[in-house]
Amino acid sequence: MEDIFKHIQPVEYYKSFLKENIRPDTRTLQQIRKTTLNVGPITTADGSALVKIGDTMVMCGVKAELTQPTAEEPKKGIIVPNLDLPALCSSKFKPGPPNTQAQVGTKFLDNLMKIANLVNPEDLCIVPDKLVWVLYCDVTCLNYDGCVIDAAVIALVAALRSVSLPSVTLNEETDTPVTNVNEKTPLTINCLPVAYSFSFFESDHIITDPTLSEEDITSGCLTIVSDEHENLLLVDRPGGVSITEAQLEICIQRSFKRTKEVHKLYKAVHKQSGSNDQT
Amino acid sequence: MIMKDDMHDEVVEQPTSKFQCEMNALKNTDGSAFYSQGETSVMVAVYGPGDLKETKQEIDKALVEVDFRPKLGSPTVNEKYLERFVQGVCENAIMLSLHPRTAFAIIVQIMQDQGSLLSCAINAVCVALQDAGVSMKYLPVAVTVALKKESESEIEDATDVLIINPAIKEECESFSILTFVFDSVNKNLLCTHSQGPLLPKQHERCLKAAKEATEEVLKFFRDSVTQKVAAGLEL
Repeated sequence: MEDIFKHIQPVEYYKSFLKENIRPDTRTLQQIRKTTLNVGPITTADGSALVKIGDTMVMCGVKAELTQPTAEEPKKGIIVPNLDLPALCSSKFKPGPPNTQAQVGTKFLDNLMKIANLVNPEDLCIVPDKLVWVLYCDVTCLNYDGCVIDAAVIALVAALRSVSLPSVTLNEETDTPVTNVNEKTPLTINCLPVAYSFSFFESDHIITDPTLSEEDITSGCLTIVSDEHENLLLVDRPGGVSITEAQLEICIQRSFKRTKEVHKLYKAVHKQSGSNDQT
Repeated sequence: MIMKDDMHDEVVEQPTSKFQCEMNALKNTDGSAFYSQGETSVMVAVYGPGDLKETKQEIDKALVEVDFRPKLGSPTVNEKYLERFVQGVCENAIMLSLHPRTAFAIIVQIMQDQGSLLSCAINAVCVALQDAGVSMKYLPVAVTVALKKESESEIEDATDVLIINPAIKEECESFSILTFVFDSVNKNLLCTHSQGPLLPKQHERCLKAAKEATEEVLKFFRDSVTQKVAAGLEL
């Protein structure tokens, strides 16, 4: 009976829970789902991380390759983030070329990397105009249950933090790179951003960390990315019901609190790389 | 032109170039507008409510499809990203439940991008929707704000210059660019896109300045529609 009501009238079903200030999965409106971070699950990649926020599961793998730099930026390396939402993660997505949401997510991660200056491209330069590192960061969603961007950002940052690049020199005579796998230096990460998503139900209720079914009935997903110094790096809200400044202020304050919690995760994982850690 | 607000001692730069708009620029569309803000100009065509394949129809509301076309080349991921913002704004501004099983197609062609592109595009879409006579709950009004460091100081504070609808040169010199979209009725926030590290109180300051700037844009919308209707009456 409950299932039928949920499918025929999802909004009414949800409202009946909101009246008691609770959500169908028994969380309060402010509660976040359990977040798990695991670094190094992919041994063949140069850096990897697996993040779970409730049922949402996102994996990031980083592969480093050598290439010639572009003519416009001869002293800068290249970082290529890519968010993939394959058909396997949800029935919403059909197999084929990357869907709109994946493209928007990729651009979001790209913007974030540039604004936060996550990895300084000049750190990736080996020989200007001849040899630079290119980092391919592939973020794949394995299970879609809302807040993919939040998980993707954590996965991306954690994976990059676990990357160690071998020292490379250019053999002048043969003009080929010589790699020394025994001398590895970890990548310098300049910033630890954390993304936090909110959704709004009919302008009255702020829903934090919405699941997939909640994303469908609420409107206007607001994503706030902040760092450990309480700087707002990105605030994205692609349309939705109108919200007041007071509500925006509440969301900003909550995102700072969340950033502190996720930072504990980053620190714990960094201390013992390759182990599991939960918050 | 630099304005100094004596009460708050703020330094705000107002653009010297104005808004320009030509409604019903394209004859075969349901609604169109050629809109320019400073040097940035955008052409928007609106078709709708129109027919849709049965498999894609929604039984209780209309769909909104936005197509962003860059000046050169085919649309890339960057355009898809901006489309998401325009679509989000339109889905809430237009009364979709009045036209079930139909779709609105909004095509945005970038003619010239010299800064503040997203706000120019959203304002242009709003004007085109008015030209098409589409029922809307409110008018979405967009403003871009940029923060530039006045001098080489470490303190990120009141000495930062706030620029409304920056040109591309000013955007490059700024450390933070924010675009806000407000509704014309209650002046509440619909959509926001901010890039660049900034403190919450700087964000608040930008939000306030953007809200005040919407008055000028709304007045311009009203003047454009008045002109269009007056021209029709003369004939």
